[in-house]
Amino acid sequence: MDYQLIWVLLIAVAVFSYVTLDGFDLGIGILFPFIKDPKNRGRMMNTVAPVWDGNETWLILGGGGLYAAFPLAYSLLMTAFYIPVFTMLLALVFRGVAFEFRFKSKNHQKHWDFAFSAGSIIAAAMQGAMLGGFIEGIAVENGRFVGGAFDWLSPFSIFCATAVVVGYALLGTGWLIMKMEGDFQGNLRKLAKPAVIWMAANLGVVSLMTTYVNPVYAQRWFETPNIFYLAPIPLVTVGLLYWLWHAVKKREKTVFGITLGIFFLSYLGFGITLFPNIVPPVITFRDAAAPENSLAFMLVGAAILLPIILGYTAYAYWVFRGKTGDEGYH
Amino acid sequence: MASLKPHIKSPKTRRWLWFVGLYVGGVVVLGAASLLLRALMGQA
Repeated sequence: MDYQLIWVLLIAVAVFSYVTLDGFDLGIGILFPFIKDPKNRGRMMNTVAPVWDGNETWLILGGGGLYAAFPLAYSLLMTAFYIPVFTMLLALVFRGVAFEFRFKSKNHQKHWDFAFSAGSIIAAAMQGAMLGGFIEGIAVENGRFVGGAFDWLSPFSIFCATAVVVGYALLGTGWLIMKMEGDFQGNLRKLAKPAVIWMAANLGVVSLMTTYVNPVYAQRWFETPNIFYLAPIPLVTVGLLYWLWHAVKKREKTVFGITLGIFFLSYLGFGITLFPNIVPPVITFRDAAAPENSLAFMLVGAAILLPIILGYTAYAYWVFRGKTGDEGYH
Repeated sequence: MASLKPHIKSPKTRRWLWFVGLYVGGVVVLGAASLLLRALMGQA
């Protein structure tokens, strides 16, 4: 059994689950500056109150899995992204605390709203900046990080940061359109339209710049016969964006579903671009893997725990399905 | 002398252009600042 491949796929699934699940609840914080009414802000938070912390489980699973299964990759990535990782974690702390305090605080609700919104925007931006830094590559020599603390910071990573913030905002809008009704839902639809255009433009620019960053990436996508096999990914993405543009006007659940589809195809494209590198541009997942015995041992634990995590996650979403009323969960 | 009156009359188009300009300008300015910071740190 190819334990290395199984583990890299497991971690990829965990990271994608985190990006989409925490993505939409970060998106709700990103949308806060556009929604002024405190009552509507409370309703927005109530839609994710039962699930937001469960969504972050996947970040732990992705990070913990990387540490255990690919320790070399973990050490290199944590060293290279030390500043954005800790900024992101601090932002998530502010955001998490704001969830509970906002509902209790009478005099300082505005401050907690700011903490929630700024925490969401900063966490999303740091994830985008790391994505950009990751695509641009990590300076590694003899299995050690030889770059600087700000290597991740570049015009490309700043652009990726804005792209992730916009992408999460659109996910959040899709989620809220599904959970809200009436006038507020109409306002959300108005917000979604420019977000679709903005995300489409960002996706195009990031995709093209990724192929420009490293000639190997361009070869993978544009050489024959790859171009014929891989062309459906961008073409279907364009089709989904077109469908999304129309769905925003009248559909409820479809907006969120299509946005998830666009995220999936973008993530797939990202994986195809970088595979088999786990620390671009040179360290592959096989170079970075822990010994086979360790991977096999951990797989037993994952085989028991993953169904439990999936089970309680699905149960939570099932219990809190449908529209979120005004009474909320706090 | 060129007229100072705006050529684009539609408020919607003007808003979009302002937004795109500020967004692209913001990324360029922040990008340049990031490169400057890395140069100052000796990491460029």
